[in-house]
Amino acid sequence: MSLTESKPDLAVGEGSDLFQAVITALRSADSSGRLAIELLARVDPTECRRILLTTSAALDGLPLAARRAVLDLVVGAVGTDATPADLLELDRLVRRYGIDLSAEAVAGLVQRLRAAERPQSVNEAAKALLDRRHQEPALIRAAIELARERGHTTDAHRWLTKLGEVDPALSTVTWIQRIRRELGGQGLPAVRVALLSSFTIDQVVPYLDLECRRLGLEPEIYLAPFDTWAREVLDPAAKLRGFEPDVAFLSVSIDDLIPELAGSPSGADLEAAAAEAIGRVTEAATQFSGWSGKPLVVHALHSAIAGPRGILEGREGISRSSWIAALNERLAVALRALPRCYLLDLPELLLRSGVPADVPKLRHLAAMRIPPAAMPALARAYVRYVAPEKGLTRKCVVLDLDNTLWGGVVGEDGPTGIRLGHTSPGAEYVEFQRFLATLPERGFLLAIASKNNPDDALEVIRGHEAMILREEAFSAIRINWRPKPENLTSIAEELNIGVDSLIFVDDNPDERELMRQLVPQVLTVEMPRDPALYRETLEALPQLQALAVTAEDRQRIGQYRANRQREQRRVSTASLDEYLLSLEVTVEIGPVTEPLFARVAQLFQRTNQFNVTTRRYDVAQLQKLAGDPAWRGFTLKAGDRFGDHGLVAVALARVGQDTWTVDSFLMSCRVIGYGIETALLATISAEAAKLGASALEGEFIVSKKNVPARDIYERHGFIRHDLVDGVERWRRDLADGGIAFPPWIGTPHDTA
Amino acid sequence: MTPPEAVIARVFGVSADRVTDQTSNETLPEWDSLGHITLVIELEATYAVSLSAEETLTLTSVAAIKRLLEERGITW
Repeated sequence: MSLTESKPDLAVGEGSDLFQAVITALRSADSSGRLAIELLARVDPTECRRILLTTSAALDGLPLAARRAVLDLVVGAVGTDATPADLLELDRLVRRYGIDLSAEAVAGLVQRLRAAERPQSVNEAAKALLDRRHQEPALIRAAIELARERGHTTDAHRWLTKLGEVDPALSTVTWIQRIRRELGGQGLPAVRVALLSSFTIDQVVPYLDLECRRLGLEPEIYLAPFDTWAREVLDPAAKLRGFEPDVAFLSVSIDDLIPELAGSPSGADLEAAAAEAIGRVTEAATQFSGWSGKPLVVHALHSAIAGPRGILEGREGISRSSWIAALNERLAVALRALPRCYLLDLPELLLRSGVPADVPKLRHLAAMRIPPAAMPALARAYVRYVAPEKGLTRKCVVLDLDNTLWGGVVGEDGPTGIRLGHTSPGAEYVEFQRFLATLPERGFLLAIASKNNPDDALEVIRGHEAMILREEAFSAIRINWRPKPENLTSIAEELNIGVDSLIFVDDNPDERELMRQLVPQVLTVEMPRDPALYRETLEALPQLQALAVTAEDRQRIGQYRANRQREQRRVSTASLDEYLLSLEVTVEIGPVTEPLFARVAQLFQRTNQFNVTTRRYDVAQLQKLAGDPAWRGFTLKAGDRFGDHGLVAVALARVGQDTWTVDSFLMSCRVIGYGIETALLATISAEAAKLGASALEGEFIVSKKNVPARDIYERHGFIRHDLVDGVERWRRDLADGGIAFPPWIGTPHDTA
Repeated sequence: MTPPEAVIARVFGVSADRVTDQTSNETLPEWDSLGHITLVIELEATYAVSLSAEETLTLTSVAAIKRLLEERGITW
């Protein structure tokens, strides 16, 4: 660090020894180049930058890792003092090597360079990186900066929310709240929340702001001055009344009400103090109810201080924690007598959020009673009251089946092969079902939307011994192969509720994305990968909370069950095509050749549903067919913008002079619904036509499980002309140009 | 590791070039008492240190924060 002060008199400049040394160091694969540059940057930053920008011409010769390292250094050297020439050089570099730049480097440029001088290529590089790494805080900060520069307020707010989700540090959420104030309104429905406390609870405010916005609400939060809770509620002239809160939270610590708890007070003293404490809180709640009529949420009492008797707690009389629990029960009874007062179980929340029970320093220094690490959980607990008060409670949870209500795919694994039972894997799903079974008691409906053969799925629902949710638990059932947005729309119609009353729960990210794109009014829950976390994911949902459950709510559920009916309605084809296009599905179709035999044979063994003849070819047979000119094999690898699906479809055709015959055609059911089968059939049809065939035939053997493939030939213009020994023969003339390749599917050829 | 200047800039929501060795609660208007508590929470989280109340009251400048971290053997 002291190098800057004692700057040695070094000759730099092109052609100098130092310049050559830097080039040599850069070209070496080890870290010496980096070290040399860092040293030079300290000696003479301006000269260093000049050398780096000049040297970058030699970048092409470097190995990728070295090139990336150098690029980061070069870009990192460009600051606010960059000259126009530097910026031109930077622009050239980013245009050429943008893809090799690190997220930090690009984000740093956006932060450091003023909008006017920042090359457009830098902004574009930031956006491109963000598309691929949308969880990267540095890039999200850059996106916020760019949105603010352009005056795109809504985008800026959206990115601020995203930043709070990926980086929930107190400093970050505080910064987010500050930026939002500068940005101004987002135009969302407003909510007014008041916080009253006997201690410092300021740190929950930015988290509460964030959680409200995640719900689509624009909060105004009133934090009453420190320890004025009693006066604020009682005094008609206090700010609280003028604020007119939609929801208020009252947090009073028992350590503030009864300071003697830190010692070992006598039983009689404790009882007197407790009665007074409960009396004060109840009085405040009563007053609030009297003039407000809005919900008041009261923290259950908790103490940061452990009981005084060590291991004899609970042995010599009642333990401190049991005593506090009893106190809270008395408080609950008192609050129940008031129309809209709720008790927030704070001891339970602190226990579950896994934070230290007490942060003594902040308790003394800043009068905090709740550890800062618990603030995000506290804010999430708060919005579970805010959401129902603002009418955000949904009515119906629509559930997928495979890998959501049980582990595995019933169509593949069979009713006895799925994971559902007492042991793990399987026990997670039973627990999740037990939780779901409680929802009707809170006034929520359950429904099913599953891609399955109805017979397979219903066999499990009706007959599996570990199944908790039987058919009668569901108010609507859609088990078919139609797109799920269509099924949810029809469920909403059947139940006579809006699609904006639905919650969609599905383990498959593609299905979730489809739903978000086509029916954004449906609340699509981002489910965790691990089924053990399903239960708590839904438990935490503010939209699954009700401030009251009426007898009508429970009755309605019975009515729905009684007149369950099946109705179907198509989502407009135009929007489905648009969705498919946005998925950026790509396929790579090739022959069945050597390294693929094992995977292809595995598909033949495992695929039951989308399989036209269910003929099982093994590796040895495939090897033989591959060398036989009378056969042609096709493999298909697929991917979309969410990732790579791998080799997911196979077809075998028998080659005739005039007619090719599809002997086998199978596809993993993971990729049903993207038109991938059309891409493969189109390719076979084009190959056949190229080699002089005038017709394509397809064989189909009905099995118990291959309903999903049932209409494949019909959909592609084949006509059934024969049925011999259970083998259907379908035929399609190729004179019309054959089967068209789906326009929304790309091939590697397109991108090259 | 994140340098203390960056933590401070983030806590008070100011650009990094406004935080130098000379910065203190007297030169930076955003450095108020509530912000100071946030700073203490973030310093403890970032550098995995525990600061006593007395220490936190002396950490009112960049120089003091760096000095204390260096005493604890923390580098960045």
